Amino acid sequence: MRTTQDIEHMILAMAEGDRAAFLSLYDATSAKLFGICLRVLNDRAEAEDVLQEIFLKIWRNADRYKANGFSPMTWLITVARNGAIDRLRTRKRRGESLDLAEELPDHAPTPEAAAVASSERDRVQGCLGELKPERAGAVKGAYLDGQTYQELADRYGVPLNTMRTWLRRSLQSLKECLSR
Amino acid sequence: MTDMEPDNDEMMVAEYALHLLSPQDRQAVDQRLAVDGALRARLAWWSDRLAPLADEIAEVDPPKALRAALARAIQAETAQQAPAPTRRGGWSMFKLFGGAGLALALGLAVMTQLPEVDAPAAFEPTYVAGIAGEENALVINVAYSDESGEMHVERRAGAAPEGRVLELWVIAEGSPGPVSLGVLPDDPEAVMIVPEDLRESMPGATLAVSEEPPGGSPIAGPSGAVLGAGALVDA
Repeated sequence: MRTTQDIEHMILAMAEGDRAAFLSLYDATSAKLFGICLRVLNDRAEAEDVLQEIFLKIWRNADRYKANGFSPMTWLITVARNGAIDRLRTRKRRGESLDLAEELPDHAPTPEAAAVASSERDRVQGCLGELKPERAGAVKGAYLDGQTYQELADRYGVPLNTMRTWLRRSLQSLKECLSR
Repeated sequence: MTDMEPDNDEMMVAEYALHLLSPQDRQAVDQRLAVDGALRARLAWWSDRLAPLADEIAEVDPPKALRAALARAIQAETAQQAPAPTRRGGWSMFKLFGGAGLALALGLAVMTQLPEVDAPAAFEPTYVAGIAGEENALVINVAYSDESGEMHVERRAGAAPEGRVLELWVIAEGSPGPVSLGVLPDDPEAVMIVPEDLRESMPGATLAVSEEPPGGSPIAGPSGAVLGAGALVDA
């Protein structure tokens, strides 16, 4: 069972060049981070490629982890999301598209990697639940699928500016709810 | 809300956390994040609260070959880093401490212990900072004593671009902008004295390094690109 503290210790050891700590971190978190890459990219080969980049980045930047003030799992998830979303947008700029969602074997999150406390999860889900369903859906579309304002506007059939307004109001409501 | 900053910043950081900003806007926020500790704290707040959303994504085991490839890659990287100090002439010290990983781990200790040999009075830092840029292109360790105002700076990686100099800045907690601590000498290791009127702002501050024309920034803040930043924390 890997706790948040275990993950943090691994990152700090990696900052000192501990390769064994890197492999422990990989074993504890790679399935979660790979899941995130697959969700955003929807392409197995590309997700594998990005996952590799992500873990190299985590290794190289482990000594900077402390400076940003994120909790350890948040930092790893953020590096993964950013890596996957950047790749997705590069692909889209090149005009490539992937229409088919691949069938992927998966399994439910294990307690080992679900280092984010369930109360935190309930909290953000609860706050999203206070929003109108389509607005909560837009927030999740941005976070989980890396969708842009334009893509969200297309998905919900509203003008771009309306989507911006939706999102910003939703974020304001979330801020208030999550601060309670 | 009790926040003193306008709501614009709050929304901008939330949009940044969701990755909704245009590449230009995102880059602008990145530059501010490098020097603005309060903004980084807001980003951490949003990121920590949004991260549990990822719990609903099913985990998928990556192929076994990927782990092996990564293990090889980081081994190659640590091996490559070892000869690097030769070019800067610091080889003997690094060799003394064995592998690069160990040398990196001991980097700060080495730096803070050196003055005990060179200087008559022992330098006892009360605060330290690790300044690092994107992809660790620039890595500078700083140790600071708030009693003497002495600051030991060790540049471990990176340098100013050709014809430019590196300038060190302090951004006090809650302060709107950076204040110059001076231009860094060419020597990778240097001792600087923090002016008395700035010492009060050091605890909890963020240090940043920018690249500037020779002599330093011609304006009040950095005029060139900010190459790295790091928080000054208790030693």
